[in-house]
Amino acid sequence: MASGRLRRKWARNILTVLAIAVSFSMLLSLSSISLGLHRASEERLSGSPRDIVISSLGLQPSIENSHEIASELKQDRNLSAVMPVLTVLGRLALDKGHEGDVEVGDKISLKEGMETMTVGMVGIVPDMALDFMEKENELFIRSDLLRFNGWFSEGSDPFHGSNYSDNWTGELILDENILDEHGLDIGDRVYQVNGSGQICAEYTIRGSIETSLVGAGLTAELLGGIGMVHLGELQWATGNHKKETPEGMTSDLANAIYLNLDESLATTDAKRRYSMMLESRFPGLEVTSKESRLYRIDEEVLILEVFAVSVAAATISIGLLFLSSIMIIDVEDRKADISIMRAIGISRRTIFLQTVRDSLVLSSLGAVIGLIPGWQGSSTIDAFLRELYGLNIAFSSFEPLVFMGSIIYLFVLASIFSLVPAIWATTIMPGSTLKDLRNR
Amino acid sequence: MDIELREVSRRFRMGETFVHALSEINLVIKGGEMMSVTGPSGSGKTTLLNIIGTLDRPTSGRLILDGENVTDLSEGRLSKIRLTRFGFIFQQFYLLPTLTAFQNVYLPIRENGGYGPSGKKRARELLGIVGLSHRMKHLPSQLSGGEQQRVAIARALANDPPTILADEPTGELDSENSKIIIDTLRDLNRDTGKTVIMVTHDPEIARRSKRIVRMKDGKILK
Repeated sequence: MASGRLRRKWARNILTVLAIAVSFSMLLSLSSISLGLHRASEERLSGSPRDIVISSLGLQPSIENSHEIASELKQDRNLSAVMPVLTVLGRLALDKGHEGDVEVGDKISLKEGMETMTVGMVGIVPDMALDFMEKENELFIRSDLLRFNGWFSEGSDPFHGSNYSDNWTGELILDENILDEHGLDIGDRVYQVNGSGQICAEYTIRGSIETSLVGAGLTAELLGGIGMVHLGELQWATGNHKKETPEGMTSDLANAIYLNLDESLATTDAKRRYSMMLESRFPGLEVTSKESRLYRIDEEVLILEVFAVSVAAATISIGLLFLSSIMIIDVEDRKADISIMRAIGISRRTIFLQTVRDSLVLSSLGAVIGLIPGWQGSSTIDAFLRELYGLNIAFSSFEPLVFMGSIIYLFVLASIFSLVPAIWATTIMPGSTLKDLRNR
Repeated sequence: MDIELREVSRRFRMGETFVHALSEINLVIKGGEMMSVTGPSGSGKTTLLNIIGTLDRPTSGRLILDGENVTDLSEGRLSKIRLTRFGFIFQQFYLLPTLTAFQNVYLPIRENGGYGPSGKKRARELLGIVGLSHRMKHLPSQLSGGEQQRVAIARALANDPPTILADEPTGELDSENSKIIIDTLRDLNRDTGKTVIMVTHDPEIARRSKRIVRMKDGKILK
């Protein structure tokens, strides 16, 4: 019976259905993006074996004597793995057109035509990094999985051990993206370029890293990839081995010290207590546990979620306001029919439910039509974000939960928005309306 | 069902003035009667019928159905009374245009709890009684005036009400169809004992009722 009523004003109803379809597809897309972001950040963090990170408060590395601190912490039986890390944006030059070795302390001008690239340089102590690897050749750095093809031959940090004077290894594990893009291979040499545009260090490529951190798009434009070297050598090449600061001379600087707690401290309470102990031991540094990072990411993602859901809610509300106004016009058009129904004894309840049901039928049709554009929109936004950030992670999670949640949301709102026309329909009195009809 | 009107008046506001459509009507209609209400236009015939059928409320006075004063009942209760105790036939048929003949008849049956096969069977039977078995799936717009009015009669009988209220049931019909409709109403009164109250302009049609009530200026003529 509803289909007959809805067919009668088909053009109007088709437009209403399309309006709901558009708003429902927006709701689906934004909900799946919101959920996708949430899932991605949770999965990436929960996949990381690190439990606590002690890090510099600012962008500049400020953890002094990082090797010494790491060695001390390694003695702590509560920790299963410790590693100081220095991450800086570096500039590497390819060896094409350059001849001769670079000795420690050399400052050589870049020759004309030398190709350079910006690389995220990560300094580590290889043996310490191995303690973090639950699977062979796989390491998590800042929640990103790094898979190594080839590894450092020198496990310690000998250049640091010689007080930054000797035993330069020059070992570099370089991002596969860079190798592919620049036609580099294992054994090739690349050079670190300092802030003055001079070559200051030489590395030999010992292996490659497969990572989701840098793929394509904007991130790849800004950052060609990542390269891992011995911590001491990166400190020296970037001036972080000894640095004059307003507070005095500092040395052996790192950005972070990664800690993996022993299994005996697996409970949340134990982790919290240990984090608090570290906070008091390292004032001026930030101590973040996996839980606190999760909480922080939750907060950040929540903002995005609230934004996405707000936009979706506003969009769907506009669609349903349209539905509501159309239903009011429909009730006005059906005033005669409703008064006839009231005259023959059809109850207000039935008329109320009929109006709500008509709204839900239109909403359902809108949901069915909006499903595919919603899915398509979600995939398009996902692809766009992947391309923009160059990250190989799923920004969208289009799954039954999103669809069911969106449908329930739509139906609840559609029911609410149909209340005004439905209640209005029940106020139509048979006597006066039929009298008006007769007098026409 | 006995129907009694006691001192019933109905006035309508027309701008600044009031029009007295009914003035202190006293009327008793016994169950099983066939009664015609006649009178010139504006005499209050339809208003009287609407008040009897609880489509309208009197400004003053009382409507008593089977000894129960229903004047001040809630709209919900009155709706139930219209559904079960009255069958309405209107001059303009007033079928729902988006429903088929069958659906128009089935609607009040379903509203009264007659869901499913038994309710549908009854709707089909009623359309058979008025000779429209072959037109069940047609929309009102696909039916002639006489056929539409027969669907309206079937709908009026849907819940087997004791009283049929017909407001100028032949007003839109030719003489042949008028005769069919009046014969049907008379048969219903005679064969099933239903009370039939019919408003008409036509003295010929009125004469076919056992009782004729003549109205003028909102009053019943003696």
